[in-house]
Amino acid sequence: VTPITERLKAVFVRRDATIISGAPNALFARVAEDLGYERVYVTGAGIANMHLGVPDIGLVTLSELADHVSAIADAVAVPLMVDGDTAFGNPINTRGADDRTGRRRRSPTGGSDLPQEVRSFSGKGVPLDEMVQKIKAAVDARLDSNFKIMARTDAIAVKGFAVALRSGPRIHRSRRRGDPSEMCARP
Amino acid sequence: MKSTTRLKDICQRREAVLMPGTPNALFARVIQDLGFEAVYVTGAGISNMHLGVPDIGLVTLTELTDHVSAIADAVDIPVLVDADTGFGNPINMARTVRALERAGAAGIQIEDQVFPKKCGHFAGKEVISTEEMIQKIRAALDSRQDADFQIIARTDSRAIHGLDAAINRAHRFIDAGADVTFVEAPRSTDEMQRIARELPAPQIANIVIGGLTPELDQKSLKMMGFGVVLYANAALQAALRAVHSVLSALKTTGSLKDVGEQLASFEDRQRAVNKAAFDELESRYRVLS
Repeated sequence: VTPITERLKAVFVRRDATIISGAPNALFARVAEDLGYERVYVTGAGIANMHLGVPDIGLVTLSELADHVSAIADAVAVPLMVDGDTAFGNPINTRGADDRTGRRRRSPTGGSDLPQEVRSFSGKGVPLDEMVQKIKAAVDARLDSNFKIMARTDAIAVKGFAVALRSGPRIHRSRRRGDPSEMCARP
Repeated sequence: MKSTTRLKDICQRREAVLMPGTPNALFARVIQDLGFEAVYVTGAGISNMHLGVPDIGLVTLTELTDHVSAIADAVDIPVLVDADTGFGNPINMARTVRALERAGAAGIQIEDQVFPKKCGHFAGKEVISTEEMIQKIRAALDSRQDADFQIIARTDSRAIHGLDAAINRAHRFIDAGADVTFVEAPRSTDEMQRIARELPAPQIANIVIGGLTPELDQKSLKMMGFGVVLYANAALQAALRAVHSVLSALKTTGSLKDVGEQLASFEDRQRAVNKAAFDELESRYRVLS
């Protein structure tokens, strides 16, 4: 049986725009799996909206996210990709986020969508150097080298497209080893 | 007025107040926005939605308490919580009441099924003795901090011992101090009429789509004298069908073009979670430079 982390990795390597449906709970994850989706994305905005009834402005805690990931991972067999937002703080918090969304699970989880403030709302980004440190912390903390760390930049809204695009390669180089699919920059 | 007192009034009015159930804070907000007076936190719904499992007693008190806290923080209307069996014996019941009252519940519904429980409309339910349930009700009453915190005692004995025995149990629960009783899964209009007529405390009717109880409308239930009508999982069932339909179209066509009208807009979604109130907080606490 192919480990769940390798199955997630295979999707990125294919580069065929695989549609990954998001779910804020185990029921919707089960629907997605039943419909034949190969992967499920655990949406941070969805958990904020649905579990807490609040906008996606960073109120969900790591404990709440880890509880939801555990429940969803127990309910489906497909690999999960988890929205880890800013990983709840600095590089040390990032370590903890990796542990609790990945290690604690029945089977290792997919990826962790690290940086940023919030999507379509206005906000500020962290300096690139700081983000690179957070990615290094995430990479160091994973136990399974196939556990994908997906680094997202929200710099378009703040600094424009060109800057966002330039941060991609820098973020990508901050990984320690592995194939090019190991890290996906998402400008 | 305190939320506990508001819930008590709703039950005592005996006007068959409609109480939709929710497994999460988002649906609770929709229920509040539509003007419903109170919301019911469904144990079956949390089993189905949060864990993706049937309603067979797998949700823990910790998980329930987390959900109740989130829901009570998100709405102003009273929150009635399905506490199932109280998660064990009278001592567990005492802890359950303390935890849920602290989490913001205005009342709880407890039942006489054997722990771990099953959905009231599943086959193979078992009930504890009347004496044991009365001790659990006493433990619940003794544990509440606010005397208006509603203790609603449900019996699942109709399926096992028949309606007479179930009504008899409810009488005993009322004598023990239960504020409201709830005879689960009556099978005919006549049975529902007897429950509302023969029992002195306010009663709850539970309309389960596809369940064992006739799906009577609010007018009929009000005439019978019921206090509250639960539609515990209507929101969940609606969402399930919508999610299936939208994700199915996405899977087949690779986009949401064909099902756009089934989606709440980005703006509707932010309105549902009251983003404006959070924007207002952000500007109130902004550091002026």
